[in-house]
Formats: sequence, C-alpha cells, structure tokens
Amino acid sequence: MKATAADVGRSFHEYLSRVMHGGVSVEITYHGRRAAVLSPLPKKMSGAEFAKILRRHKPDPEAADEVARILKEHDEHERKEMADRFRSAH
Amino acid sequence: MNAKKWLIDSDLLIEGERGNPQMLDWLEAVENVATSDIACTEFLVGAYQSAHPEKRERAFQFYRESISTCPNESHVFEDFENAARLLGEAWRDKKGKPSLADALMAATAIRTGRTVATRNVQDFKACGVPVENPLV
Repeated sequence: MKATAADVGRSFHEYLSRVMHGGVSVEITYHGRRAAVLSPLPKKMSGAEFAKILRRHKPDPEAADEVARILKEHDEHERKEMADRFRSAH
Repeated sequence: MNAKKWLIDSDLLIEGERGNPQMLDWLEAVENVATSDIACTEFLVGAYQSAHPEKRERAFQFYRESISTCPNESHVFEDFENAARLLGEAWRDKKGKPSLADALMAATAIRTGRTVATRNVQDFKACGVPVENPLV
C-alpha cells in the first residue's frame, strides 16, 4: 500500500500495526516522490512448527530429485563460468 | 533445545520435500528457523524449469503449502554489497568457490545473526559465515 509521509506521521501506530499484524508493506511518498518503505520483519517460527508443516506433506522424492538436479546444473554452469572469468582475469 | 537462529538453504528445503527423516528430526530440536528470498528463488527455478508438468506442479504445491509458510529473511541492498565482497574475496584468496546465491545467503545470515543450515558447508565456510550441515 502507499501513503504520504504526512499520513504516516499522523497515524504512525495504525500503519505500523498494519505492517506488523497484516504483513503488508507501506511505500511512503514525500512531496509526491517515493521515499521509503515500511516492511515487516519475519515472524519467529520454531523448527518444530516448521517440521509439523512439512510432515503434512506427502514425501515426494521424485519431484525433489528433479528440483535438485536442475539446481545442480545451474550451480555447475555458474561455477564453470566464474572459474573461466577468474582465469582470464589473472 | 538449540537456541541458534537458523537460515535454511535451498538444498535442505529440497530435503523437506523428500521427507528426509533426519531433516525433520533436526527441525524438531531447533528453536528459530527462517529461509531467505534467494533460497526460495532457487527452489522455484528448479520447479519452473522442470520439463515434467506433474513434477512441476507437485514442486509448486510443496512451495505454496510448506516453504512459503517458513519465515523469510528478505535481502536488503547491504546484503548484495556484502555478497559481492564475500564472493570476490573467497575466489581471489582461493578459499572456495561459492556461487552468487551462496554469497547472498551468507551476507544475509551475517546481518541477521543466523547460522546457515546447508549440506554445502565448504562454500559457506569460504564466505566466513557460521554454517552447519544438520544432516551429518
């Protein structure tokens, strides 16, 4: 959402509450120009809470292997390119 | 209970999709977890690029229902500046060969006081960030 600096100044706690509890970001304009963003920081989650969410998901080794294979290809390609660039620069 | 704050890398998110019991047991024992924009992006690249529509949809579903529920540390410009330094120094001083994504993850972990949880310990060590492989 967008708000002017004057509006945020008048109702700072209201905007902060929307950011903290509503998870929205507020883009603040000053004299008609984009000036700043008020954004929420991540909420705390325990590992046990995340594990509980993961356990609801039926394990999917096939899809996991596919994602892992593609990331490995990207990773190897990027490292090779960087190594080539590094060699040519030295 | 382990009081460290953790930043989970994409390779461990994939282990979550695999249902790796070691990964789940580790999570049960730690107090504070998050992932990052770049780890989510990496996972989604793997999903989008898949040539198999069924696997692609299942990966998206896992992202929507599981990964996106994990708190996310967004990157700020300072992270990109620090990632450039960490990456450049690691390669220049032959400490390791981290990727840009590794360096960005490392810079974000340093700024937020988190330990990186990954199987790729070596490249994060090269960036000088606290890192552990919880699956060993």
